Amino acid sequence: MNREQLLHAIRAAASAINAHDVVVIGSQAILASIPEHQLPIEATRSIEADVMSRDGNASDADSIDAMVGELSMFHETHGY
Amino acid sequence: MVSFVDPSQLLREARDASGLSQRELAACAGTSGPTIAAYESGAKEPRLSTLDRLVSATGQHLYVRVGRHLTRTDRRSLALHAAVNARLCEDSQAVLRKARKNMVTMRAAAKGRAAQRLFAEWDELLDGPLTAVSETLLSSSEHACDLRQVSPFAGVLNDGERRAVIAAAAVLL
Repeated sequence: MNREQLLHAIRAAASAINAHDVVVIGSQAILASIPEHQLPIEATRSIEADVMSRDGNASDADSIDAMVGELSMFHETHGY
Repeated sequence: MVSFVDPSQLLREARDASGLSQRELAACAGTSGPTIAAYESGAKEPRLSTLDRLVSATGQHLYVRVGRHLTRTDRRSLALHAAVNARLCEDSQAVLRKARKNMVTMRAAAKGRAAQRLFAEWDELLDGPLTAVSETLLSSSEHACDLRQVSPFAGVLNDGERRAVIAAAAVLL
């Protein structure tokens, strides 16, 4: 997943919970913070990103997962 | 996989399944009826070796597994893939066809950057025996979890089915 794809996934996740932003956690957080060309190739290896709402609400996590999560139509369409 | 085993319930279920009475099971296993009754009521707790012997006497096997702790995400993924496996059993050709199509999309999206080794493993699994695919969908091993992180089964469940599985899993998580 490159930075453009990550930003796409982030926008979709935020939209799923009607939020303006979400928090990226895990290894993809660095890809969200630093320009891709400054990172080693390993930073773009994953095809998934872990995101959560600002307050870490569990039902938001489930909403995000339902809309853009694993095995979703979003996943099928975009491959990540 | 059960993470907590109540020996009394396990023994009772094994004995019920065999149709043996407490006295008959005791005779088969070389113990006494009151001891079996004490185990089943929870008044006494059998050692693992004893439980194994008693379950064997019912004509069944006691399986004990050690597994790693699964994260919430891993458990949800496992629940989703268990539902995919059910669909695989119903219509394997359609599911495998979709998986192979998804592999193309995933490779294009990853542009050579994704875990190619995992993609290659999925290719082999999808062309191999169905049982191996099922095992990967249902296993709680670390490697199976890694493989499912690049799962080619997106779209096998429709939106409603996915949501139902996620909602059901959320109750258990």
